[in-house]
Amino acid sequence: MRLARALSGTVAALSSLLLVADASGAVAAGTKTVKIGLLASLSGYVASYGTDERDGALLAINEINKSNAIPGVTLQPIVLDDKGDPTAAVEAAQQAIDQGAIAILGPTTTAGTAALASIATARQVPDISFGLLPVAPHAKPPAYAYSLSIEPNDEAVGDLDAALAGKNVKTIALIYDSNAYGQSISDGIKREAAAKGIRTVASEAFKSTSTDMTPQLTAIRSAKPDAIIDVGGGTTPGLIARQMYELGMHQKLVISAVSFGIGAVKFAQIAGPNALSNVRHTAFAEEVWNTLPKADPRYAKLQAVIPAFRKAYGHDPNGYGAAAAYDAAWVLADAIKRADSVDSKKIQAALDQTKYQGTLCLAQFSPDSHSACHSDSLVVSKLAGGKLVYGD
Amino acid sequence: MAEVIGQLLVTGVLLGLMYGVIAVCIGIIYNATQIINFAQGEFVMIGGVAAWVLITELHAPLWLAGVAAVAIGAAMGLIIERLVINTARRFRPPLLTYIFLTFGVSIILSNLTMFAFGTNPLIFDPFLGRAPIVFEKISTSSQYALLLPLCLVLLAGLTFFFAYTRYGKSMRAAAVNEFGAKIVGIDVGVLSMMAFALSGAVSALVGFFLTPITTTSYSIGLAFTLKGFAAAITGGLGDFRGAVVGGLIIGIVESLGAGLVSSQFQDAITFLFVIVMLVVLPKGIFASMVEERDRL
Repeated sequence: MRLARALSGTVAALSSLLLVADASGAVAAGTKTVKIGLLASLSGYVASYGTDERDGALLAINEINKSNAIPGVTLQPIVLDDKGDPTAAVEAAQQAIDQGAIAILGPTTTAGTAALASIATARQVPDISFGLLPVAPHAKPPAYAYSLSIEPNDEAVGDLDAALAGKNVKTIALIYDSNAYGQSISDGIKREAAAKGIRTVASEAFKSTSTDMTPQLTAIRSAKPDAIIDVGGGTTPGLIARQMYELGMHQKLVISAVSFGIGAVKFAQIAGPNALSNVRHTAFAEEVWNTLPKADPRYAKLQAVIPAFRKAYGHDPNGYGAAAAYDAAWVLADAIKRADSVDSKKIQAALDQTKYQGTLCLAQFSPDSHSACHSDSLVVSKLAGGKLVYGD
Repeated sequence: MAEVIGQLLVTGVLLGLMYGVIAVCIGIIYNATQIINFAQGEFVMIGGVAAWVLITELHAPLWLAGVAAVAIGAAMGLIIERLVINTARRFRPPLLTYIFLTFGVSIILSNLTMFAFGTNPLIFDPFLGRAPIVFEKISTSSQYALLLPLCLVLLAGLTFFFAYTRYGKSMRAAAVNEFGAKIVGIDVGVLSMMAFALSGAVSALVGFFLTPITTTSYSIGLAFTLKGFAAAITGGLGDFRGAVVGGLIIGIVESLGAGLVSSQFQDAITFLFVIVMLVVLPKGIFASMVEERDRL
């Protein structure tokens, strides 16, 4: 029963927290326990992937502590809910830093990341966010010295490429979440499209909590685009695919990566079987982990991480989130180890030299780039047999 | 263009009917108790979640899920009335306190649902299949189309209840003059319980019908409360005709605003319209009942 599974998942998550605490207590004498802030949307409109981010990060922290990956150092997470709200994210970050956190993982949303950037930099505590970096992610040097992101910053390129693949597409329409993430990606898509001579004939926004996008889709239908790109998360991609079908719209629909915050099965259930034939997805490797080509450098890690996640929490990851947070925790551990110090400034200096093969991408930071992953982190995928599989 | 406007109007009317029924439910409680229930949307959520448990987990037939959703909605209404409203009533707090109490109830119900069922959306199949209903290039889902007869039946039933039954008439009497109603022997406490139960049951039934369209989850309640409340005050708080007309106005403005003006400012356009309406008609479109009450 799903209720029982949900409860067992919660128990598993709490047990994992205890496990981390046990691990920290069990470390040999002479080791140092350091606190890190772990901020994720455990409630609010993106709670489905915020919860996965927490669980993914805790899984990694548990592995880091158990394997003594940072010699002499045990990580102790301070788990806080950012509620999908930038103000709550700032409060949570302040709380974590006040409690002695030497670094922060999270928050979940792009708006939260933007809100935290100046605080992390002012207090000189590195923040590896699960959301996109604030304005001008390609700025050199980055706008905020202590604000970094694990989320691919070139999703727009991947989304547009997926829309253009295969068919003769000359015009596109965008339907996007009006939050900071949706705005940022859709602006990027428009820029990329203009550079390639593709016309954006309609651009419609919706709220994260919207359930009826028929008015927006009606406006798009009258603009007659060759393909449509949807940027948003939660239930909205499934609802959009279904409402397109109900409106008799048969264009290719590309659903942007983070859209799979609720998982492929749930997406397919919401969209309905008739609405899926024209849908393609840009996906993260974790979402197609068992159909990835074996030559993919992420393949081997994912074969270990996803089953471990399933064992710890009683269910598969929902989509984006678990792997990103898992990688962020390991990237931080790698930096602390190389810094050979738990001083935040030294950790930041080490983070700026990061080159770490994760489950999401080959994560690389430099003083000139604080976005770890780029458009090549994304793969094109489709639904087959109720599951998301690799390939167009 | 006619096709676009037609489609937007159909969407707006269906959305508006849904808001209208929720506004009626807000009106039922307001009339009996003068309380604006900010947990109204949670009844919609609970109806959907209860039906999901029966259909998806217990494989119950659809009719049983519907009956259970209504029963659970009514029971939740009763529990909230007895545990929260009636308890608070003993201390004779100002009316504003009740608003915050119901807001608190909304947050608690939402969090309890999140704890029990997680954060993922819950959904079950539409009752009449997934094929849309299409007429002259204007289309809608069959499930949405079901809202039309549902809302009409609900509104007819409620009209009959308030016009012809003893308890319905008592509720109307208490709404106009609570003190006078008490003098003639009407038990206002019983009316309060009935109002919460009836309001909970009807909202839960809406949730049962809506879940295949919108999905349900712990967080959907507040949005329904806000739109329902906007519909209620636009039409005239406590007036059922006003609630439906208010709902339709909000649904249509929302749909036309998003489709023809700017989807970026969909809610801003809707609420700007509500503000202008209330500046022109401060007591809503159907102000008669409100004025009658205020005269006393």
